Amino acid sequence: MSVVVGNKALLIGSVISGVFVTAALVEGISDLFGITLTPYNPLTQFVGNPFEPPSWAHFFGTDELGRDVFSRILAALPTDLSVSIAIVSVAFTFGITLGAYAGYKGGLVDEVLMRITDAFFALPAIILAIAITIILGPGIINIMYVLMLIWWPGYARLARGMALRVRHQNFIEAARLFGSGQARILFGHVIPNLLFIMLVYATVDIGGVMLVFAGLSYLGLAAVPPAPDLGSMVNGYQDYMLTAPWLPIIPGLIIALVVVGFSVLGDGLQEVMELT
Amino acid sequence: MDEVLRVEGLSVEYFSAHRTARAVDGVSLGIPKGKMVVVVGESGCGKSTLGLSIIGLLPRSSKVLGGSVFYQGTDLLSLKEKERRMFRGTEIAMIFQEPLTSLDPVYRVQDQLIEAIQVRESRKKGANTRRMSNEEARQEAVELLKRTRIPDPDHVCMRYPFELSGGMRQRVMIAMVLAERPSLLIADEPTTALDVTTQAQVLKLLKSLMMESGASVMLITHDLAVAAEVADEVVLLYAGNVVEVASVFDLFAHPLHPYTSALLTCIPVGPKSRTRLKPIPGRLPSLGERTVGCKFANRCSHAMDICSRQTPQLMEVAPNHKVACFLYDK
Amino acid sequence: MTSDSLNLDEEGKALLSVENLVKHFEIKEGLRIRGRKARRFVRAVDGVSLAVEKKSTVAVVGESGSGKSTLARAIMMLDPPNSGRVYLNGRLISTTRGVPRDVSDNIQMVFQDPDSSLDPMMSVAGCIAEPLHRTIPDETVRSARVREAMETVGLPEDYSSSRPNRLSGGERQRVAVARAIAPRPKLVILDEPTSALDASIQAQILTLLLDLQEKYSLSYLLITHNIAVAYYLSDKILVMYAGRVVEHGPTDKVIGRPRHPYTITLMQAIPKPDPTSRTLLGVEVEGEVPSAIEPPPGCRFHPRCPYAQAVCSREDPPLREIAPDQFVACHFAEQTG
Repeated sequence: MSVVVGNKALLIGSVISGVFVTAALVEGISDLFGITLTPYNPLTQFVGNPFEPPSWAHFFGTDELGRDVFSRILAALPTDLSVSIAIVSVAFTFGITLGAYAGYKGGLVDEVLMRITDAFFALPAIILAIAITIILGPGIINIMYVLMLIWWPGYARLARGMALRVRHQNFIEAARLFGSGQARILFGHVIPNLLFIMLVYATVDIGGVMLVFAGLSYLGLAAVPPAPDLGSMVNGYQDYMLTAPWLPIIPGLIIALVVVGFSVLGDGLQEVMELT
Repeated sequence: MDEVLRVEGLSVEYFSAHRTARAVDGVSLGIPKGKMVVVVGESGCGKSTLGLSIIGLLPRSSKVLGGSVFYQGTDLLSLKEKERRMFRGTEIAMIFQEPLTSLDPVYRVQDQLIEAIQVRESRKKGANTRRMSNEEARQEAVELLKRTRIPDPDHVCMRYPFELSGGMRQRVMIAMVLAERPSLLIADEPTTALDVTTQAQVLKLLKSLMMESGASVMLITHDLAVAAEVADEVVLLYAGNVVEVASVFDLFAHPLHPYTSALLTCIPVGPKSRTRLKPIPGRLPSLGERTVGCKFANRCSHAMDICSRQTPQLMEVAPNHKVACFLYDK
Repeated sequence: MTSDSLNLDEEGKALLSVENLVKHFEIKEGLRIRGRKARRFVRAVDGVSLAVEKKSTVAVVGESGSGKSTLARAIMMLDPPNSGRVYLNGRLISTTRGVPRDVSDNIQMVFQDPDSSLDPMMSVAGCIAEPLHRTIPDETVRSARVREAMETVGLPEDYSSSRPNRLSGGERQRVAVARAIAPRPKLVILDEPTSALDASIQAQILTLLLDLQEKYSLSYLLITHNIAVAYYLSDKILVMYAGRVVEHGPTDKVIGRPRHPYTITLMQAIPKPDPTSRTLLGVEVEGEVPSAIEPPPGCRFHPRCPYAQAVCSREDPPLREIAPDQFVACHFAEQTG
């Protein structure tokens, strides 16, 4: 605990991202049970006058249909965060396993796996997303699949680089000497030694994914209205930039804050890691 | 006695987020002119910190708590950085253990030598000093390398540091030092990373250059046997304190401090059938551990009651033989 | 491991027997546009033979570039040799893929750098238990073995769950030693076991190694550049230079009266803790260890040898017996010592 408090980045990052994650969790779980914790139902129209600026009654004001923006954002958070975390989790697991294996084996296996990684790396997110929406229709889940498909190469490359370094360490040779099999060495030695760095990377990456997801959703590829998510909210409100600026700006700010929160958290984790 | 350097009561502390560690604790020593003084100690004894304090290259996480470093009468610690720089490299020079980090890997050997030469030239003030041309500097670079008995100096000049072996890199470092004419060279474990035969070559070189130029050398090492081979005087450090100072012959023939004698029985010199090593029980105090009294007391077979209560001071017990131990404090 | 290659030396005693081991590394060059040049090799170990008997210590001494570490790794089949034979308990170890069972069962190694030889993510007990997983499936038996090993090397039991980075260098090396003896090997290869340690810690580890040898009837193959340590621990010694053995024999004979000019130089260059008999500053040899890619013709030491004559640059001297049990590879060994 003292470590957390002592490290400024870790503290600030944890607080910011913690706030959002908690909010998302609370909202998401209560939603599952049908309980509404938000001040107003995010879907109900005309709970207040349309275009009301932020006030005590409506923290973030109301939109063109009189819906409470604060409630909408609260409802959107679990969507954005869970999608981002899901994508990062899949990319993390798959990418590390593939990358660590390639780095450890070396040779032909390494070459082949890395070329495959390069191929996926080259896939453009936007084009793919558009293609999927044409084929399968828009939707958060579809976009999530697209991003899962292309997000893992970064992890694979990083894991491979680290595995390359680890594999020459004496303790790996010692393990070979004891007759440990490859699987044991890979999962017992190589991967644990890269886990911490990869976690730092993944933490910052949550923000990165969210940004891309919000961007795709802003382009209209994700959400099916009226279920809110931050990106499509910005899209929906952008026309009112001059008349009701809080509408597009606030969701954008929230996105930025979440990204910053996770970045700072990642920095803090990295500092802590360097101390040990 | 003519001394080129005198350290008095130097204390240096390192601090990190959680604690402070006193790396050098009230160290006093003197380096006579033209002699090689070997500072010996195991890890954590503060020997490197001592060297860095003298030349003024301590890291930011450290602080000099007190004491003075007199170089030919001037207390270096009382000078500002700008003034201190006038001494660094010119009067007092330093070489380190791993020359790969002291040499810039993206420049050829001759570029780095030329740089050292030109820095020296630019320090000379006066209307009638003319600028040295690159060609002249280059020729001097080759001359300097020749003085280090490096094979094929012209060829070496054109090489990058990573193309050279450890021993050759050290010679390049020594050549850079020779560009000036320092009166004191501090060598921090210069041969620890080298092979035995290369170590012998480099130490021979240092000794002969020292005798040629009349400079003094402070050689820092963890190897007591190296001290036996090359030292004029030996200073033995333990956990930041000087425990014994003597001429090399006196130290080995009549070790006074219990740590000294214990250390000598740790060095393997013969087969197991004839000599049994006697390891020193216990472990070195970790950095940051504060002890009252003599730091060696908990491992000392001669420890007395007073040893864990008071810290022994360094005292001259025989001509030119100092020791910090209550056994000799009558 | 074919049973038709049972090799017992005359006394049937040799635990480990190495015959003419050769290890080359090919230098991979980039694409060659014009023609095909001859492939270039680093001749790290160029024909080395040795034998280690039960409950004895053999030291292989050399400086960098001598090939001694490559030799150790080749014996263990970590980097299998290109040619030559290794016999363990009379049985030929063949170069199967990976480390053969015979080796894992009988030979263990203590590495030089205590920092990188232990997995920083594993607990001390985990590190020590690792070699036991294959042969001792029962967890309780394994833990008991680990506790025993820790006690034997003098590690307090509450270190079990600590990570290696909490321990000092000497303590880490003790963990490495515990890990090496836990599987009850017959032979332990010690690769510079104390080079990274202070003198007082080194003395502790050396004493420990001797005690363990007594207790478990171990054999040691000691690889080091520190001749004082080799002198202390070993019964037989081999001196390597540029991939070849230049001298070998009983330790006290070779060190007491070295015959090969390189061995003589080495003895001179080693620092001894006696200022009244200084030899280091009298070392005359110049130059460096030769390139392992294109070693000098004839005797590899001849460019630096004070006794060198014309024949030395033409003919590579073979190892020959100069005194009972003492072998030298030098044309003029009679004139040296």
